[in-house]
Amino acid sequence: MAYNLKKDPKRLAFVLARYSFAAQMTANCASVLELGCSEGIGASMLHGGIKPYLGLDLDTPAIEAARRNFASETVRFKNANFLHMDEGRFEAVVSLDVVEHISKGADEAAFFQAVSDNITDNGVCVIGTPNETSTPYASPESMRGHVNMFDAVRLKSTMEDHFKNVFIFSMNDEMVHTGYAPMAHYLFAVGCNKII
Amino acid sequence: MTNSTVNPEKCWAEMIDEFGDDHSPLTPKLAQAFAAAPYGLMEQVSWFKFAGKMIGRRDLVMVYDHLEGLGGWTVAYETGPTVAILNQLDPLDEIRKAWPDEKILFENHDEILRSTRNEFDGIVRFDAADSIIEAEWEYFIADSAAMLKEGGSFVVGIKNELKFIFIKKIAKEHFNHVFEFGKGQPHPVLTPANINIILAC
Repeated sequence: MAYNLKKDPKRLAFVLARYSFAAQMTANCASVLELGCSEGIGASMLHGGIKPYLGLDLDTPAIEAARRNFASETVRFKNANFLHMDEGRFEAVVSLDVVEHISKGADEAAFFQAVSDNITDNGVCVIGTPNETSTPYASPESMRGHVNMFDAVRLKSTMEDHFKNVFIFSMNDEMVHTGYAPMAHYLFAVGCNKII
Repeated sequence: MTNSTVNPEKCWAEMIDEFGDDHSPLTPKLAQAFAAAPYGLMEQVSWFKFAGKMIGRRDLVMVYDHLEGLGGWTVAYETGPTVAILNQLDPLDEIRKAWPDEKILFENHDEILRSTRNEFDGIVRFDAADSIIEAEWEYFIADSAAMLKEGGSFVVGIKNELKFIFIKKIAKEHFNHVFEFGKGQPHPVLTPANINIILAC
């Protein structure tokens, strides 16, 4: 986070705005699982101080930082690979800026299956990812890590394999909107009513 | 510098002809809205656009249209085939002529449609004039839950804060998920102005 704050501080507004939107969409959910929580900076928005929260990430130092700063009895952080995992059932599953780092094919399928396996039948899932159409403007660092970019059509259709209702939102800077999706920098898919 | 071989007046006329702009007269309420309440018109078209975007491309949507066809058409443009329920006193024939697309069908009454089951992929209603009483909202929400197909979406909006709380409570009795957009939301979402919206499914 310190690196990001020094290199591009406005990005913190974008990242917190993404969490804020995810929190709004999961406001009625009683428990939260975050896949790819990194240092846990969005955890407090998601659990609001009242919901059990579990954040998972592969990045060991990031999880250690999250534990140091934000862990409590009901707010847990775990160093884990969330593909093929089973942590129980949560009413909300949130994953921001993660799926674009997961390879197409088997890993992508395992990711969405993990979302489905760990959400209750009436849960709400929020997936956020940079839009494929924003690739020409991405930094070289981002482009190296972004191995699986989605546009709005593919994000919606992929989510519709697991949820009966999928709503797509666009985002530019910290503003979420319903404008022309190919011109959005960032996309959200909100899925609910899981396909059982 | 101009190109002497191009006749701009002719080009423009050809373009207008191609686009089919017939400069037909506006229906009464729309004419009044353009003249006297353009900000309200802007807001209300924005409400319908939001609803259409949320529903997405689907097979059949039902819209309560208080904008003499413009509301239904705004949704249909995003979603596909749509039945638009106009206000009872709206000029049905004029509106049908004004919006002659095969995607949209206009009706003045909803009684028969209200008795259908699992028929629609989306139902949209905005109460701009705050004219729907709570009992009607209660019936309407119950009917809508039955009229919607599995995976369908319900989008309603109202300005009145107290009725919004009531509608939200009733919607939670009939739908698994009730999302709120509008006044007081904690996030900088560009939701339509001057309305509280429920998206339920």
